[in-house]
Amino acid sequence: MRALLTAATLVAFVAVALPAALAQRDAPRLTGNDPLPSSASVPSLAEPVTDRGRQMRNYPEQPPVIPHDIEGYQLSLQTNTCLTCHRRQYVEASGAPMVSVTHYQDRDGQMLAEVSGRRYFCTQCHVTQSGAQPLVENLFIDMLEFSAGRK
Amino acid sequence: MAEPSQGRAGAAVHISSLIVYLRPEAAERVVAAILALGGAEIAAREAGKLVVVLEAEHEGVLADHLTKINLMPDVYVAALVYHQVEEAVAEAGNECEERHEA
Amino acid sequence: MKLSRRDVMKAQAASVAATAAGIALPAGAQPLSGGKEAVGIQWSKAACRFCGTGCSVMVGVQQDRVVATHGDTQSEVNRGLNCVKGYFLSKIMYGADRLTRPLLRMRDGEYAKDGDFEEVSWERAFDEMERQWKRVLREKGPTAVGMFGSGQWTVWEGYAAAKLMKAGLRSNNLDPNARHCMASAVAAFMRTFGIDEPMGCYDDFEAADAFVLWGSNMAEMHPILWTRLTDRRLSHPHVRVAVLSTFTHRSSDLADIPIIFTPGTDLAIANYIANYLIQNDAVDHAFVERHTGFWLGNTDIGYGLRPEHELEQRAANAGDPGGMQQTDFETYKAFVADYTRDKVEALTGVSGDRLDQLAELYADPDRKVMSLWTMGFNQHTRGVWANQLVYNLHLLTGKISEPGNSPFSLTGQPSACGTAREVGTFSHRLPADMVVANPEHRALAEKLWKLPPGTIPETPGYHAVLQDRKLKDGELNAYWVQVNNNMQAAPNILNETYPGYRNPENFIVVSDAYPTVTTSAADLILPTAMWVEKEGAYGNAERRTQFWHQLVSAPGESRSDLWQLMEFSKRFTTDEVWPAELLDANPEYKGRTLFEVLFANGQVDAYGLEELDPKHPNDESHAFGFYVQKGLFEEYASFGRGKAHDLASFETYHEERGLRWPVVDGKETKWRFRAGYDPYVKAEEGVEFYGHADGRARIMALPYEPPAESPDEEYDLWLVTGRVLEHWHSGSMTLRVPELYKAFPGARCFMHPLDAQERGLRRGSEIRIASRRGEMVSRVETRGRNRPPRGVVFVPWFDASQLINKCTLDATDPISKQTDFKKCAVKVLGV
Repeated sequence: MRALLTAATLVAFVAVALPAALAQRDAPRLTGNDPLPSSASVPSLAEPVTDRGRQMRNYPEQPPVIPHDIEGYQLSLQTNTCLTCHRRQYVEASGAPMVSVTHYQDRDGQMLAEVSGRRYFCTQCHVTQSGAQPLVENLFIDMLEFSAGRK
Repeated sequence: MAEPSQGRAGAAVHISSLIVYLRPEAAERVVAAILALGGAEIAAREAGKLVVVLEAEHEGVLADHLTKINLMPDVYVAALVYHQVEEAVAEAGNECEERHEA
Repeated sequence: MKLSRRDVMKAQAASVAATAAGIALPAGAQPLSGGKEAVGIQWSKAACRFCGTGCSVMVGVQQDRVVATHGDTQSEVNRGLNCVKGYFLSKIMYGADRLTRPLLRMRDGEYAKDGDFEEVSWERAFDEMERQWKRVLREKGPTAVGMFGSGQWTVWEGYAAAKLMKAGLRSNNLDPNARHCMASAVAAFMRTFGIDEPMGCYDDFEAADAFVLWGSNMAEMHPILWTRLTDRRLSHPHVRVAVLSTFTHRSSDLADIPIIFTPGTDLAIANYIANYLIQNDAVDHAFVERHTGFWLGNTDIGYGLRPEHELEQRAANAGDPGGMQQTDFETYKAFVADYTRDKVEALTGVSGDRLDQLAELYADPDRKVMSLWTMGFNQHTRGVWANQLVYNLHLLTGKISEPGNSPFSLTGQPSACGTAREVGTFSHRLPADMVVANPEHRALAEKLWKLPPGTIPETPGYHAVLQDRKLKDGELNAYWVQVNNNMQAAPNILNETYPGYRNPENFIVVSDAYPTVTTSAADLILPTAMWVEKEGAYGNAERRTQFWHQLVSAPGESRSDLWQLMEFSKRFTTDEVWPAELLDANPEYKGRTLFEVLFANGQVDAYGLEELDPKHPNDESHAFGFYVQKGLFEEYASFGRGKAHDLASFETYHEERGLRWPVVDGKETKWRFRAGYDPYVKAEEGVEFYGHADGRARIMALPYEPPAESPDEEYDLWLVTGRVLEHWHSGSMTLRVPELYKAFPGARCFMHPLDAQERGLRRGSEIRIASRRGEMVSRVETRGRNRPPRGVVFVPWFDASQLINKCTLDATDPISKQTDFKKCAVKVLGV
């Protein structure tokens, strides 16, 4: 717990310091360049943030985002690199969180001895996060604000 | 996850909650006395009962507070219900961590 | 809101103690986990807003806001799963820049084409629209007004638009963006089977022994169907997966038989397999003789470019691309015999062994095969042919219309089937597969709409690409765009789309929830309610119709497309838009508003507000004083009942997780054309392809023909465009969800590392991608999910700051008029 929270604190600090600079570098991806014919310079490829620490979900059923780089991870008929850390039998050694129990259920909700085939390709639900700063603020309100009576 | 960088050495945080049973007529005076201890919050109250949440950097402080509350006039008993220790809980602004499964 | 960890721990501590003491906590101190304590969340079902899979989602609402969504465990389609886009549906409506008031280009208080956008009232917005529409109708008549809609319209929005345009304003210039998406699939269904949409359903995923992806990347584009396919493959080791594509992508990761072919040569591969089936005696002759007929299609049909283009001039059958004549098995056999192993190997770049492995999946009588395709086939200058060539394989082997044997045309948009196709929003169509060119079809539509004979014009209107050309040429002058972002999505936008929007003769109205490239090019922007801000219905790729209730209010003054269409119809009377002879022959229609004749016609307004579900809002119904959605749905449903398009009752769909039409006697149909499954086929028939009068499906002889443009010395790379998992279409919703934005923040040019190196480039280099039509700036990506072979680059089109459609070519399939977004020639240069 100590290690995890310390890393999160550091990243939080960096994120506070940088957004203004990053935002200026990004392109108007939602409404295009104006006037249409022009071609603005394109920001550098945004790289995945790694070792950010776990992030709070927007609601309990949201799949957690991947807090590390997965470039080069093989996800194929033969191999699933993600499961070499997140499978039940490996988490003790890896320290990674175990994939949730829902991943051991088949289409009919029955439990399986292994991760279900329908959950095999992790990246269909779980995505990495780059350092790019969103162009538009999202005004989604967390249900906690309602249940806490703050709204 | 790779080995994290060594951050600022964070102090531990101890959080506990108690149920305090007391003479209902004396509630205001007891509440004031508990709040005066520092690090204490009244989470809920009902006739004759209080739920108090205590926060401190050291376990000893909590034990001290618990003893003091038990010795307050008009308090029948203060019972420790819950105690949690976290190391390096950072400042407000540090996001909530998931506690259960990922 | 960010809760500090300390807050959470304290709340937890308080909760435990309060529970022990039997005290209720004040709201602010209640336990913060989800579950039962998260009281007050109202859960309702809805269809996902994104792709054609049609997942059902549960939507949680608190205080008029969506606070959570998750996969619906009761849904047959997705059984509790969502893809990453679906899991973030909760946030798509909450981008900070939602449009909340109409915006009109103005100068000095008046509309001006070159003015700046200013907020106006709805009254003022519709006043200007009415003035412009009436000006254009007066000067040029109904062929100069048009509308571009969407496969993301709800069923009743598309239906109301079809009525307003085709009957009210008497213009067939109504087309959906489904033209860019599913038109080739539609034309192929009509040519092969005489009735639109797949005969099979998603249950085939659990029954098939082999899956063949023809140019589809389901892992990213239909992720939930991919979970079903993956589950089948991993739990049943005998199952085989073949993935055909022009580049390696995430679906290739599951492939037992991965095949990378030269763009456009899929036609030759399909004909090779047909030849293989015949040569290796794998044809089910009994099935073929009883249920099919052989046809020879016109060839050399051009590329759907402007008629003066040299490729059109040179094409022998550009004037009759859809022509065909009956032939026989022997002729067909000789036709495909031309597709020999050596010839096809050379043409496609695929080894003969691989081709045979693929062909054997279809040939093996004990193997049930599901073929799947979407844009790789449909966005193809020979897209209709490509669809049909795969139907040929299933018809030759009899592997069709039964569990697991299923040629399956996947759908791009959530209601391309339910709205764009079934409702008849294409420029040549009417509801229930009918067409405007057929006098009987028009007469039936007029009767069901309670309109006088002769109201609906007989000439098909302008299709999507033609609308842009006609706007540019000044022949289409009043134009309304709803639920799409065509300035980003259309091909060759610099030359063929943008000039038309900014043509001073034209007035362009764009309805959208958010600012987009298209709203920027408009003259009037109408702020629009989206998804669960209105009651809706979508129809997915397996003929499943799904409903949802309005769950929250739309922000500000934004209104649904349905309200906009119906409210605008009040601005016209029949005397203004119908010819005198029509009204003289039918005087009872004189002087009435289009709203009265189209919507207050005793049918659409037949259901009162007392029928609304009191638990849910319904803004349109309260605005018009009757249950609008129910009235439109019931009138629309009358088109299909008894004609193999039967729908259940309105209320049923609000209860069920969707039903697959035809729904007869309360029972849905999983497999069409086969007795025992399809109520329209008699037991003694066994199989009947009743879409055609002779009850037979058509096996068509169609050749390989080259694409409209191929790489040459100067423009030396193939450009393929498409989507990525995290973003829906042009990104107007998903780029506003921070998690999806950060997951894939901008477009990039996927290319082979050696192609990059050869040009002095490396990963991350800034580049110009240039075609004969335009260019854009991007960055090189040589890693990651897409790995093109030498000579091919892939660029996604979701990013408005990198408009790849400046480079694409407006060549279409000449039969379906659908653009080929997958094949044109570009060069890549360092910046």
